[in-house]
Amino acid sequence: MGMTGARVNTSGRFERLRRACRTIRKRAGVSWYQLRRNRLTMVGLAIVMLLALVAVFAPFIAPYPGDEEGTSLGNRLKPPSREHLFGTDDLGRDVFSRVVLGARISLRVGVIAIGATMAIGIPIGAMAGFFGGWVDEAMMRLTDICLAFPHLMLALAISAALGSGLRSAMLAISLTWWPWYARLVRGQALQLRNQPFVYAARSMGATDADIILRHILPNCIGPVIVNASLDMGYIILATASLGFIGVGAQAPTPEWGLMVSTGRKFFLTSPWMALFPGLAIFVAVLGFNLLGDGLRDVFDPRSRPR
Amino acid sequence: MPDADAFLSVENLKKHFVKRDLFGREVQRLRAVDGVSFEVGRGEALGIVGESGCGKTTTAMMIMRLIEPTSGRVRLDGRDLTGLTGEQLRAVRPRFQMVFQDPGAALDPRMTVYDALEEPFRIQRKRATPDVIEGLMHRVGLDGEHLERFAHELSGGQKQRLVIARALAMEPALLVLDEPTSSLDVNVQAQILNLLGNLRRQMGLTYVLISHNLGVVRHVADRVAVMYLGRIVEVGPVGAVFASPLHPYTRALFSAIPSVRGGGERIVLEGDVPNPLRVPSGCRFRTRCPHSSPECSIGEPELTDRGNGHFVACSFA
Repeated sequence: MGMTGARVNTSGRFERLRRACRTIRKRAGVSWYQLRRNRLTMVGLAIVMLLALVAVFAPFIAPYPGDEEGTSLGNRLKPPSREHLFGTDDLGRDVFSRVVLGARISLRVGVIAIGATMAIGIPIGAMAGFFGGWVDEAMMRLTDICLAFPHLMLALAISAALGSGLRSAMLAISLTWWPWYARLVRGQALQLRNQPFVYAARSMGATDADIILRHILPNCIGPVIVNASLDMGYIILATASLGFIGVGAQAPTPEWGLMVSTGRKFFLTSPWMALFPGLAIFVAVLGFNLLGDGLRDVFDPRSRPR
Repeated sequence: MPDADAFLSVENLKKHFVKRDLFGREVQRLRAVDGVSFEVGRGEALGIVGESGCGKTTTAMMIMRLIEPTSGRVRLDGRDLTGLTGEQLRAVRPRFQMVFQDPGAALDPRMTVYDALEEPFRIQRKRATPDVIEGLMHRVGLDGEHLERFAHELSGGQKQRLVIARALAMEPALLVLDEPTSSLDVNVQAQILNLLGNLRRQMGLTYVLISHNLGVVRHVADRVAVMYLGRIVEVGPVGAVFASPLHPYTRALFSAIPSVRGGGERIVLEGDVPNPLRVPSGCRFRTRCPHSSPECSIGEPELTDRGNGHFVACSFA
């Protein structure tokens, strides 16, 4: 009786400890304290969060959320005013509404493209670095080939084949971007595979898959997150460039690059048409870059105060 | 000198790192381990000593099947480990475990103590019950309070206790200890050595202890093998080898142990250990040996019995 009581007691304590250990692990992901110390990082985080909120609630924020709404040809190229904060464009559409709706497009493209990029790049990099030898050689040559494609040219080719549109733009970006992730993760895996803790797992009988999933990938996560947040900015910029040269988003999609491109023709007379979407691109890229830099400081062990 | 009842037997183990040019021609050959043979009885502790770079750790990694030998065999309990691959190898791995030199590096920085202790069970597809985990922690003297900590939040001694606990979780028969105390403070070293001694007695473990610290080897091991440039030059019972080292290299090495009583002349060797890329012909120690003669450059001396299990590889000792 006393024996069983004691045993139940130990298990209970054990369960509590186990729960405590889960919370600690969550806490250890990103040190909020370190992130908060850097003012620029917080500015970046604020911009990114604002952007995300705008994207999620775009139809409620935009005064004229529908495509045709508020459109009248008599209202063309009006300068910023109380009804039209950012003015109107050549078709009489509210530029502010279109910039707000554009946030949704840019973020979605960014998230999907980053997701696809990581989904291709991380497994390839991890396998190349971990197995080495001919696997590494084959995968890295493939990576080099994909890296050699200028992404604007590839985008032109893809939109020629599949038709212009955001989907082609995302495809082109993902296909030219994943090599950076493959290289990043490969470098990490190369370092990690000779760590004693990897040898220890192997000597216990862990399979290669086990080691990659439990030891290699979790230890690569830091640099990957840093890169992803920096790249969100670049991908938004790349999407905008593709929209600008006409192979990305097609009219009437309220995509920032496309809006700048259309506004260019009216720049001397109605600069607001290109200016505000351009500013949106600038702020979004800046936000992601500031956040990424801050995250790098947190994840880079050399800059981490002990 | 193969022995039927040896628990671990290592036969002519070699690891050469070969660098080849574009056409597959050999450019360089680094002889890290160049024909090592020894045997360890069940429950026995063999110490391997030698300077850094003499191939001690490479030998350990080959026994563990963590690097592939160029040639030679490793047998555990009569079973040839060198031929095993895949599932077969994974099935026997629990029998032999390793304790690493730097316990900090041997623990995944993203794992808590609980994760680290659970990992061996997960890998072997066994359930880690709270009782089992607590039993393990108790066995190595770790406090239950530490379960939620990350490895880097533990002290050096606690880390090494955790590494040992992980190895014990596999219920091994052989432990390969690679400099288990060299990264620890002196007082902690003593605790870990005592722990290792107790574990061996209680669980009937067999040890291969690799160390450059002669005091540690003397304290833990029953027999000692001395390595020089990838080969064993002398092997025998700890008492005999420490009392009367026969090989000139062993004498020089042991003369460096500070003695309370004083006396005993310090033998200082000339020059450096030769580059393992260019191993001298004949006796590989002859370039630094105070007694070398022209004959030493012809033919490599084999380990020969000098009585009571004391072997030495020198033509003149």
